[in-house]
Amino acid sequence: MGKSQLYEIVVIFDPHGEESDLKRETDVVQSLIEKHSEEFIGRTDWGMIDFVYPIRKRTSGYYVYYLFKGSKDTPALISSALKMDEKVLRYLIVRAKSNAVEYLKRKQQEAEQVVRTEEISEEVEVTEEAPLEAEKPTEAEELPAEETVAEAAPTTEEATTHEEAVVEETPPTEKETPAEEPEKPSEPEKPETEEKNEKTNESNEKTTAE
Amino acid sequence: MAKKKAKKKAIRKLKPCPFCLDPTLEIDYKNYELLRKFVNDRGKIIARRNSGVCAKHQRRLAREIKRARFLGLIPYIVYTYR
Repeated sequence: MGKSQLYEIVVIFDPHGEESDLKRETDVVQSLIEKHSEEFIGRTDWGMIDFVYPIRKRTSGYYVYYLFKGSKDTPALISSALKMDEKVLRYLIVRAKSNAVEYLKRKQQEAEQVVRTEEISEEVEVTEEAPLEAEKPTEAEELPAEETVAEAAPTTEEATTHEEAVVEETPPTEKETPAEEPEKPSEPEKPETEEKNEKTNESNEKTTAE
Repeated sequence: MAKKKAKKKAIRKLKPCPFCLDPTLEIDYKNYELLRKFVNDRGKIIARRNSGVCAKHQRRLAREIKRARFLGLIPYIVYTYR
């Protein structure tokens, strides 16, 4: 018997058909590898991946990665068996690197986490469906009013701030104006706001003069 | 005698090999998102004089790109004409 080596296989399965068939087919290939190999280490499903170019007139395939130990004859035995399988679009058997076992463990852990998060998200969706519907209409009513006020006010405010900047750079005066500004939006009429702005300008100039 | 024009030799600064700089980068067909950076918009493997990859890593890179191509993860060729 020769020295056993670490090998990895990536098998692309034809996704055409039912999901149960696909699962069965992946298990069939796994049992085939277990039969021929000395030690089957594990597998991870990469899932559906779109091909960059069509393979046997298919645009996507189901990728599964297997890792096993075997002698130098095992890859030939497995490949001859896989060639006969019509559900297998393509496969690649290569000698695995030393870190392949770590990769497999990492991938398996990631897959477990994904499954957990999906379960949690499903539970959350079920619980949150009812309250969300109740909240939505109230938000829609409130938003437009806020927007109109916000649009009306800044035009005058911005003008005043710009003027202040041109007159003189005085940080304390700029700080005073924002305190007065929040009162403006409550008064939608423009002439009054302009008068106020003039007043604020005057007050600012006074402060600068002092 | 005709004067010879003094040719200016362009001194090109060699790029450092990204795989030598960062040993955590794994050249593997499974890590095909990384391999895509070393393939141009036509799908051709970028020469190491342009990418700056050292000879040792370029050999591995080429092998893994070819494996990824076979599995349909990286294109063999990209047609850019309309």
